[in-house]
Amino acid sequence: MPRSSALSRVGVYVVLLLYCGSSVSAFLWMVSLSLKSDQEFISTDPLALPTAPSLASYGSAWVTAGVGEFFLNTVLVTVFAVGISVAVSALAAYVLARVEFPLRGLFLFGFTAGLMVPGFLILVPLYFLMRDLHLLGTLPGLVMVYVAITIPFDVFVLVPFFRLLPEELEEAAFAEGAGPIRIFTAVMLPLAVPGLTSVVLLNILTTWNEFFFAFVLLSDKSVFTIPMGLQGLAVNAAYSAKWVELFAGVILSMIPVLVMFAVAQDRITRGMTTGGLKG
Amino acid sequence: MLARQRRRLVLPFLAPAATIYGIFLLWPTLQAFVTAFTDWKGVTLDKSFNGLGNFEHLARDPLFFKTLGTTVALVLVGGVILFPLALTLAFATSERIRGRHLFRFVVLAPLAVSVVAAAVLWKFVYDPNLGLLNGVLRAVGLRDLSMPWLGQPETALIAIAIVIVWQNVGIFVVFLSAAIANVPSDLKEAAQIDGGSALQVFRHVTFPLIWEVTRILMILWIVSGLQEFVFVWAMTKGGPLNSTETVGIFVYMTAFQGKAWAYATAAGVVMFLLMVAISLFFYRVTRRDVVQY
Repeated sequence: MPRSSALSRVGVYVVLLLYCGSSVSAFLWMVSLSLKSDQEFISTDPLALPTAPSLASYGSAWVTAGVGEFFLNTVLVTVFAVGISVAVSALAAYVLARVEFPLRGLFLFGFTAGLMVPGFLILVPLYFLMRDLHLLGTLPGLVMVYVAITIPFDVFVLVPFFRLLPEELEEAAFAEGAGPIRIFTAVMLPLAVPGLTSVVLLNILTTWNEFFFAFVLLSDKSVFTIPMGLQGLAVNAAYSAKWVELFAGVILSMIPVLVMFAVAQDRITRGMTTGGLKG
Repeated sequence: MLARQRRRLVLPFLAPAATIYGIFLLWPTLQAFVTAFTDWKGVTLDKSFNGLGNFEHLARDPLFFKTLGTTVALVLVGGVILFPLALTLAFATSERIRGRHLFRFVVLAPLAVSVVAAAVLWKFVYDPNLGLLNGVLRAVGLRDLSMPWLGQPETALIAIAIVIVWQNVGIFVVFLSAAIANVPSDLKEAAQIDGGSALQVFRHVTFPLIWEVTRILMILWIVSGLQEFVFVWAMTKGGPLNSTETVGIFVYMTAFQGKAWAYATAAGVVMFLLMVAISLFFYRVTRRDVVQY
């Protein structure tokens, strides 16, 4: 056994180093490109290191190319969309999980069925609905769409979570004279914090990077979110040859969520698995 | 008593979520099924029903069938790359080795990157002249293998599939790792003591026990793969020569460039029904007797 397990251990390392090594080097390659000048990027070998590394492209990406503005828009959209989505989903999940009422099963099915609705199915009706509501091309409109598309997942994760909380705690609070709303806010919500945190983190991931609906619903550069802005920069770069700015923008856009991931990796992965297959 | 008190919360607690979800997701979904049977032009309010007209048209549209084929090919090619890779990585990061937390972070990190950022990054990795891939191939003396990866129909779809797999493999690794962690270690140890190599133990002990999770993940992959739009749009816009055009792109182009709103919606409805049918079919054929442990 020792020999074969030592051998398989070497194999494991080789596989991980190969895969992770190439993944990281693609990322580092883009960082090195972002430190070059446009001239240098076009004229030197792609593998050559920058001769005079400069952060100038980051400044021009942030200010002139508007990445700063895209960041602000994305932060606004993410804060409102995730906040509203998790708040309304927590309310709904609580009663769906813990209160008996007619049509409960239908409501639960109705909410989670949304997980199966593909973007291309609702593309056209949603576009015209937004037009008729005068929400087309606006950030509040985009927020409402993001809330709607994240509710199914949030309810799906939070219902089993609320169901697991002990009934005795509610009864004890009730015996001490607490009303139903107070029981929810003072007893149930604090216990649900781990579940709510997972949902918040996963929603941030979805919302921060969402492209499809932003692409269909937004048209004016001033309201672009980061993915839309980057796509615009990528298209422009092909004409104006401002490549390096684009690379800097790409790197900048990755930082916030990568940091969140590095800090909360366990919480996020646990959130994924509890919601999906073990729930 | 408590139960009756709680029941008063039902309406106010359900209403906000139900309203937003109902207006912005449920209503458009129902609308899609109505619009698909009309000849709606988008400008006026009048929709006249034309029965199965859109669907008959669709059945004679070679581009729709081409994109359908491309989408299925993307799911197959991606799946063939994704599952062996995800299983390998899940297996590897489940071993108690030094730095496994860091390895797992690197595997997961692409999930944190937006599809557009990933697409830009890889578009330049694949760039024929300035790209990393061809640069490396030239540097190691394989100049003959360097080619315009995204620029020719033969390689473009595979090149895109690789990027999709690269970004999403983390989700699959997370679920598979969780499943592997649930396999009782005494089972694995028993098999090892009986002389099984690590690979044999994986194939004959671990894999059958995580098959249930694996096939659910395959359905997840099929469902998300059949919806593919963003990666393709950001890297090739469906080209070259429509070779990477998925049904998602077809629906978008038909609606927003061709202004054939109802026709595009009908294509969306057909694709949705196909998606459900394929998932259910796959769910049935992959069912095995559940192994208890």
